[in-house]
Amino acid sequence: MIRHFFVNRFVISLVAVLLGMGILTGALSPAFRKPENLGNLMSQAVPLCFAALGQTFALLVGGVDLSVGGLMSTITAIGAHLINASSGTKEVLQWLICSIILSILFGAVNGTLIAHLGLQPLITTLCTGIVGQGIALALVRRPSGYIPRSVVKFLAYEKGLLRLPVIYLLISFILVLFYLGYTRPGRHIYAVGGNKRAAMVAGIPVSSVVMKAYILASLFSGIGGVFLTCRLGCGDPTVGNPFTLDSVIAVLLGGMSFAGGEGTPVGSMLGGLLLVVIGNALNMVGISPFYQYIVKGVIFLTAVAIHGRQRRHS
Amino acid sequence: MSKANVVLQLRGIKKRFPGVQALKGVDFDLYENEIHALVGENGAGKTTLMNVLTGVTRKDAGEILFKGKKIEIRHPSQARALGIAYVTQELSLCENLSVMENVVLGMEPVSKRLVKTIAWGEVKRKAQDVLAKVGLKIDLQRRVRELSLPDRYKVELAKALFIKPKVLILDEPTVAFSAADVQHLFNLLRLLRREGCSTVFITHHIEEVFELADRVSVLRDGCLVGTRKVDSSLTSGELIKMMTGKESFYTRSKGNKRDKEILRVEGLTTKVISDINMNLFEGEILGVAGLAGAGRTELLEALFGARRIVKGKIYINGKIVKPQSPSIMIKQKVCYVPEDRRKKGLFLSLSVSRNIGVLSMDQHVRYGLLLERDERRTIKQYIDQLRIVPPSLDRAVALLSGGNQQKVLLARALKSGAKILLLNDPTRGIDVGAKFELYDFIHNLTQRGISIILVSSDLDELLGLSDRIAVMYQGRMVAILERTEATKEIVLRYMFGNTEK
Repeated sequence: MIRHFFVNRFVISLVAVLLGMGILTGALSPAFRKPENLGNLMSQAVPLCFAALGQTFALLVGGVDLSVGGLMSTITAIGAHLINASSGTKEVLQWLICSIILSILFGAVNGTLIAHLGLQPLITTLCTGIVGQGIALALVRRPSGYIPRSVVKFLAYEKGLLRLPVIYLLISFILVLFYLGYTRPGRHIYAVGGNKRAAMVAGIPVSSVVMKAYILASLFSGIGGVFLTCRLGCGDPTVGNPFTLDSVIAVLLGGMSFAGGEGTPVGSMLGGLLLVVIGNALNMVGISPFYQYIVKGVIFLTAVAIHGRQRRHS
Repeated sequence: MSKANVVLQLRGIKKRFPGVQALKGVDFDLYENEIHALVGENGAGKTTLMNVLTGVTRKDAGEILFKGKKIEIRHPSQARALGIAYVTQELSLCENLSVMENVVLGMEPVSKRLVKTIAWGEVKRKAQDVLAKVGLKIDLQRRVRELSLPDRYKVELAKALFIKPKVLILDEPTVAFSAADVQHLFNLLRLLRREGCSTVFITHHIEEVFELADRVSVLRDGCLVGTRKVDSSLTSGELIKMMTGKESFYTRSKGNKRDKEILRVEGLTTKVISDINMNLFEGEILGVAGLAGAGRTELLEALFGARRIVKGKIYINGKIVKPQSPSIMIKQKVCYVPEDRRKKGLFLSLSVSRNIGVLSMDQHVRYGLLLERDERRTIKQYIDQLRIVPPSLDRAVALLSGGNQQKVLLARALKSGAKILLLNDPTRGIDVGAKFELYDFIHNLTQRGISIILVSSDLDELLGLSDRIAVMYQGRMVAILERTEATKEIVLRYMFGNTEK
């Protein structure tokens, strides 16, 4: 089963584009080639890849999760609230537990409204995301607080090319692969995304599958928020915002479709990675961040257009 | 047969849909080890009866006994759990999943280890078994999306067999199949019969009843006409009489003079229909008969410019016309009233007046502004003329009954000044009273010089209203009959592709 997660045209073309970009940028910019930058690139990719893993579940059941940004911001805000320079592991654990509970709560609210009350995923998660943004702003008004690296060592230890967050990400990724590829609940997520009616007739509890998908979606973006906070070293009430759309774009690049039931976690990870590499490469070749938005937008449009074409022709 | 051998009993099943009583107290018995054909005209209630049995729709009254015990089925998965497998006409497959996953969907075998993973080896083996039974040799990993329609049907059939059903229900399974596939299916059903599985087989093909079934039940207008053993005492003529009932119940008085040809079609060909030749006279009603899928809707839509025409010429009043889009044809005073009024015809949330006026707003525009009072006055005339109830201009059309919605569509066509009306099953899902009102109205239209092409699944209606009846079979027009020579038996024979006289 998992073989087809890795061998499909989205994954192959993403790997090709990633390699191509790497070689091209490496040739243009010596800084890009440096090992420090590669390590940096990997750590940079962690929060977005977690968010993309989460978004994968939402799109698989034919929905979308736009509360990602609000949730991630809230988690950094809570971090700034609970942790300071004199904190120890105890406070960090408190924060972690808080973050996980909050993520599950967000997912449960999204899931209940969508699966049981039949609300539109787009609007529902947009609204819960705004609520998340509100909580974050209530906790910290502006980027503030101090979360020292030394305190969150067991989460974010870095030395040379060894990056602990990357290892956590890889473990999560393998668990997701296993879940979606080899377990009944995982396959039922695909079935529900493919044809709700067929799933229902086959006795699959459609509503609880959708519920589960949204909880997993929030859980993974929440974990992304934790690693984002560790990287930042402070709390910032709006830092999560770009992750909402970036995670959606990442999974679309990875071959998912708003119709549901399409795409794989492999594609989503690569999609997330590609976004980060594009940003990094543009920095490295000296394009101002203000112009990067334009370049990014055009690249995404092109990619989505190509995918759409391929899908229509298959 | 003794009671012990009855596996399934339906008693006094009633079901009402808005505007129509679909089942009026139907009794139905299924014996062990039998193949039971269920026949009847479109809309007789065959599919509804099976939907009720399998929990797709809830019944209003009646009871269901399975192996002698009363059961309440509220959900299709409950029927499946009891061993009642139902293969509907619209397949319910997950097209994004592989063939084997679809076969075992919802009942995937899992390993007995600590972490319960799907036992793919077992899935493969079991899927292969049932797929071999239905005669589908195919890579198990293929996505269902990539399969042809007949192959998809076989996957659905394999999915049904996977639960080792006691009762298998097939709704018109042979529609998608080639002759060889049909034979394979029949052999499979005979094999299942030996293995203790009973089959309910909905079909439109009389010859299949005689070839396969042990017994046959006939439904008409939501009632059971009778259940007969299939043996030498039963003839196909008898069966057709049971299906269609009494002789023509509506006859119009006037014959058509046929002095002015208003429409001529030569060699019309699209993707679905081929080489259609026909003509239509002023004030004539040309009925078009045919089974579902024979190309009747395609023909009307092609004439209305809603389908791509590959070949052929169309003349209106002797002048050649190219039906490239509906708006071109509306200018030619051709108007189409589709069969699925809610989906293809009406703006459900808009008012009656907006729905009627949408094609003909130009009539009331001066200096680019809509003279609403003027428009409303005209619309009101149509509402009164057609006796639309309630006679309100501003009611949302979704709130009207089926019959009145149909009248709204007719009013729209008439107000646009249509001279040629293409009516597609105008009385489908309409109660009897409204039906006769519509018949009178359609008849009146012809006296005003409006010509009508009428497609209908109701043969009585066609025979009663039409001046001539054209019969379609598999995309071709196999006969055009004068009303005087058309009887139900003859039309049915052509409908089933039997062209010998």
